[in-house]
Amino acid sequence: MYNPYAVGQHVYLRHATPSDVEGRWHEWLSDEETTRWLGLRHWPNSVERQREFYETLKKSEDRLVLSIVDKESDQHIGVCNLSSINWVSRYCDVAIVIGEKEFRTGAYVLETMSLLLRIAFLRLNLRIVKSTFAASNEASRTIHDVFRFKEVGRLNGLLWDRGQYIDSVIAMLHRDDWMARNNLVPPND
Amino acid sequence: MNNKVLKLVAQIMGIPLERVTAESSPDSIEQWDSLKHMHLVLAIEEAFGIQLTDEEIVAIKDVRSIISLIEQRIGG
Repeated sequence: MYNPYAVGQHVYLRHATPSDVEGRWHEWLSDEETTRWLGLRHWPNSVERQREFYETLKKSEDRLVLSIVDKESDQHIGVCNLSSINWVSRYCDVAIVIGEKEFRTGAYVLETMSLLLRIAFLRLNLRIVKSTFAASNEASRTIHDVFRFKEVGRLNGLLWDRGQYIDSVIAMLHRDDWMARNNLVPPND
Repeated sequence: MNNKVLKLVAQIMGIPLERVTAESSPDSIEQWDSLKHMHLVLAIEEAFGIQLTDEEIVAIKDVRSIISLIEQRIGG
């Protein structure tokens, strides 16, 4: 492992590196299937654009972007982030992309979400992790169900997907609910 | 209990029960993809009336791990 930030059974998360940028990261974010549900990813990506994005990460104070790495092979397989971190109100957004398709078996994305929630709630002391996803994105809906995110609203007909407008679902997971489920005692705050 | 787990896996994967054994995994069941894996987690909780911790969710990787998990949680 290289510079692990969070370690699971199947994956570890670490800070993105220049070799990640020069690798397949930009290709994942051009792939039609991979980007179908990624809100702003309708334009072709390139290694040059990926380098520009990487530079913005170095100084970001509200976006934690982590590379997802398969422990067994040490292969960079995806990217995840906690973004729009509001340090005063203590909430953030969450996103995960398993870029390498052979790792889309369920175990990797579930473990990545588990690690991100631990980072958000236990390491960064955030209160709320929120998320938005397309109503017809069954995989996204299901992972939110697995981790007990609650649907709190919808932006009706916001998103365009292959010939129709679909709802954007807004979901939230509160720290106290997450801690209770994981047999942890929430702090008094 | 083991039979209940096998039936659950067969149902979620959409395959005959005879194709599911305690050794079954995503490597041996072609239909076992990311989405079905997550549906399986939810189905386990509902079928056995339990709420899994994140650690338990992550521990599910094949049929044997499910059986082991259920045995630990509810015995039998």
